[in-house]
Amino acid sequence: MLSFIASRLARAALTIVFVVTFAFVVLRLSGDPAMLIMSVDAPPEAIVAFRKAWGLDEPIWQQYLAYAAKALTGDFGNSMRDGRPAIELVLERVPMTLAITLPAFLIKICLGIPAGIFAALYRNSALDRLTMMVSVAGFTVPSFVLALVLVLVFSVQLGWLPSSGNDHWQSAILPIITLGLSGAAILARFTRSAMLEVLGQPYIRTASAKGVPWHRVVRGHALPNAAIPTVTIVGFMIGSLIAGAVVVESVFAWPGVGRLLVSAVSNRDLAVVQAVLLAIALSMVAANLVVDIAYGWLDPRLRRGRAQH
Amino acid sequence: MDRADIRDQHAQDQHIQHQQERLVEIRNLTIDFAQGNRLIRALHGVDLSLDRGEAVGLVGESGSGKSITWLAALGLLPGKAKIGGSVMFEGRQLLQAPHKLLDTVRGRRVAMIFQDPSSSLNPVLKIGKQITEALSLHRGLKGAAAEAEAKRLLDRVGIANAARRLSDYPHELSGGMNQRAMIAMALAGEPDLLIADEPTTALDATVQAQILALLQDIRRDSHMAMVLISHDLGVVAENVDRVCVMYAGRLVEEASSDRVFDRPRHPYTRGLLAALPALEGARRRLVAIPGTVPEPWNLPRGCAFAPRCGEAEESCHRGQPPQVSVDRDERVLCFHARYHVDPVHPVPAEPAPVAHVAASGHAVAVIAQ
Repeated sequence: MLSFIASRLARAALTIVFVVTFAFVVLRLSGDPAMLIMSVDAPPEAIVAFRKAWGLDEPIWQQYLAYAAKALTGDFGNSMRDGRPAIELVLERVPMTLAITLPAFLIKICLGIPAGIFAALYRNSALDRLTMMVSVAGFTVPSFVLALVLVLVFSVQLGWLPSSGNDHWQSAILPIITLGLSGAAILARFTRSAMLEVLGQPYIRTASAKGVPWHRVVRGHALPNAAIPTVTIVGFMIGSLIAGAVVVESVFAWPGVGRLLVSAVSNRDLAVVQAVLLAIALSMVAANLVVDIAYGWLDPRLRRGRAQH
Repeated sequence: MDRADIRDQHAQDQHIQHQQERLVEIRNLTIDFAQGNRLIRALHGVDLSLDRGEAVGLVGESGSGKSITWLAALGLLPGKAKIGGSVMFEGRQLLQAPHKLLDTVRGRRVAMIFQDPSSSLNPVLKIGKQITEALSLHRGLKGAAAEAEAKRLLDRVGIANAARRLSDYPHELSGGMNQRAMIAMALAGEPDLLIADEPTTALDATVQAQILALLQDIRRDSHMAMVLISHDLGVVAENVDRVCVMYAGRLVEEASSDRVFDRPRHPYTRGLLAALPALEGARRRLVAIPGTVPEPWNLPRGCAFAPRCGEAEESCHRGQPPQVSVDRDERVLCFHARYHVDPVHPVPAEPAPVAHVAASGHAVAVIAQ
């Protein structure tokens, strides 16, 4: 078990190093921050001075080594725009993002999973068809379209809710609904197919054959098995609590991590982009670890298999 | 009273006795599966009855309708199956019965074990939990009492280290062990009837023989009736009193198991026998039945077996053969049933004991194959 955890942690660390390196190289190859930050008509000497100040005139590998050495001490560089530590900029946005992604996550779980379960239990019924229709609509319609429709209805037509910003707590409602509905649609579909797969298994027939009432077959025999594949997609949703709201935050002008990323990328604020990507990678890796632990807890076949390693 | 009268009287007595001892009576059971807009008939009116303590075998190739007959009887088929006819269990109708009744019959009165024990047990539940669940449902046993009884059942079905096995998961046991655990689970409700649906097909030959011996042993102890479903006529005939041969959703021959072995009447039954290897006597070439079972949506117009039958005549291809009752408990679904009665060995009035069959070469051959 210890060696299992060690190997997982090593892999997680490797993933993060890879993401950081990749972002570092690609960002530096794809454009010159000096031009963007200083504006195009700045005097050439000023641009050269800027490049020198931020170390952009050195070879990429030297820049990378310097960055890595500092990163190990917890220094992830400063924003080129206002000079504040990049990590600080990211951290102050995290609570704002979580303020909409956490409630949205609850909506996904509380709406998506039961909808999927009932759709599977009443397969081909009107309930199933309706759920699947809404679900298909939910994940084929891009979230910014759904967001705009909601704004049109609730802000423009009805005037009930603010269309953007974060001046009132009500401003969070539309972003939360947008994120929650599209996530619930995906989760409903996954849960339904996981449940259908399990309901067709011989051990479900065995449980019925031994006289277990149907509702207990569903609760005691089908759900614990259907939970295993469902955990994968739920884990992915946990991983995207930090990064999953880029589009929605932009549409609603919600000052979260996603919007910070968008503006940092368009400004070529390299340290900030890297810090955001690092935060995203960390949350994804952490979610994957949670999923792995959940697998072991839900599926005894994996639990014992691991112990042997 | 002359001899004929005595025989009639005897037959009548037996009839009355049958009425009291009858456990299951299936009449004209039909199953249709909805496929798109049309219904595909998978079972064409099966009649089958079973007495208390009796062991009946159901034989036929896959797709002949053996398993679905019993799944339908217990309401275990998916909803898209339309079931007709009648299934009486101790005089109570099981078809379209309320869930309440079915839940008291399933597991408690009629238990079922399945072909692939490893996938028929729930992979995320411990063996012990799966057995105690049945114990609490049917015998109200909880906690330590249920645990102790589950251990006793595992002991009974020959699982070594029963106490430890209770906390094992199905994937930690072999296929044979899992089938023993399935049997223990089936015994938990102390059923009157065990339906064993190809219980040994997924197991290797030595384990197969052990499982069959275990089933026989349990039946001797508990006077439990059994339906043994198998594609192997040898396995069936050796373990049951009466054999029903099914083909393409119909029961084509029913007779005592030794009679089926000695004088099969339906050409299909003869085909199944010819395909069995014999351990004793001269070596002979095994004969396979040519072709395959027709698909339910593509049945021939006449007798379903006619296209594969070496003895088919023109009439066989034109219409359904009638069901011929050759003797009191013997039925054949064939145009030529009478024709096949062996004039040299008239049908015995009383079925010979099963032991006779068990001692025959065929049975031994099957165990040893």
